[in-house]
Amino acid sequence: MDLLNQTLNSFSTQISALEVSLNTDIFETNVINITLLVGGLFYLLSGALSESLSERQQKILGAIQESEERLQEAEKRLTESETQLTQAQMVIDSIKSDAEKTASQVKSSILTDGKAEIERLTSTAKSQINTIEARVRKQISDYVVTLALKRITMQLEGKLNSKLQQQIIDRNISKLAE
Amino acid sequence: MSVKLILTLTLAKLQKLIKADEIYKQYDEKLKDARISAQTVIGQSEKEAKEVVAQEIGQARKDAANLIEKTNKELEAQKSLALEKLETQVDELIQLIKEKLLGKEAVL
Repeated sequence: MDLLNQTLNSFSTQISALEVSLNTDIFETNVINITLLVGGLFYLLSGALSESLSERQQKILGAIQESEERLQEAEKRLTESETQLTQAQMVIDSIKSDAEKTASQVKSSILTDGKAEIERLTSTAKSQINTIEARVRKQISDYVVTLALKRITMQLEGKLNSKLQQQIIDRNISKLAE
Repeated sequence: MSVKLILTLTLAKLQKLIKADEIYKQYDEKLKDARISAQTVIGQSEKEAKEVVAQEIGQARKDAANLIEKTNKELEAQKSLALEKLETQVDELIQLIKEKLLGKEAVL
């Protein structure tokens, strides 16, 4: 830290010791050489500078044009969005109408299927009733036939001698001949 | 000057794009709501129709079962009556069978 302070103090002393003044001697100050150098540099660099500035101008103009085009695109997109929003109600109405139509079709289809199912149930019930009726008729018929045969058998028991048997056979043979 | 112009143009472009985006979002939101509403309408209609059909089919099943049961009972009652009645008519049938089997003369 002390070393740094010492160095700074020494540098400060040397600066304050310098004497600054204007030197008017043309040859000593090399004004002609400097003028020639500046002139030569201006001559050599002016073309390149001009070209560079022109390029820069073109770039800026291009950038402005690009920005204008993008702005136009943005305006176009905004207009499209606004138009789309204006037409939204039409689209919404169309969706609503389609939905109502679809809902009606779905309802109709379900009701038609339901009706068919009810008809099938009714038909099955009628068929079951017919089956029950036929079964009862057969039961009655079987009962009557069985009862009749039972009674006939009881009545003919002991009476069916060989003469009567021969009579039955003859009668049936004569029936065959007819 | 040119930088300011470019910035102004870019800012205007951005404002318009933001506005366009907002409008598009509004449009999208409206369509989304409309589609949800449409689905709800269809779903509600389907649900109502299914409820009606389920109720009617249930009632039809019940009616069919009742009708079958009633018919069964009626037929059983009719069968009993018929058998009682036929009990007395069996003799006539026996007579007819005997005539067919033995001939009228033999039966008499």
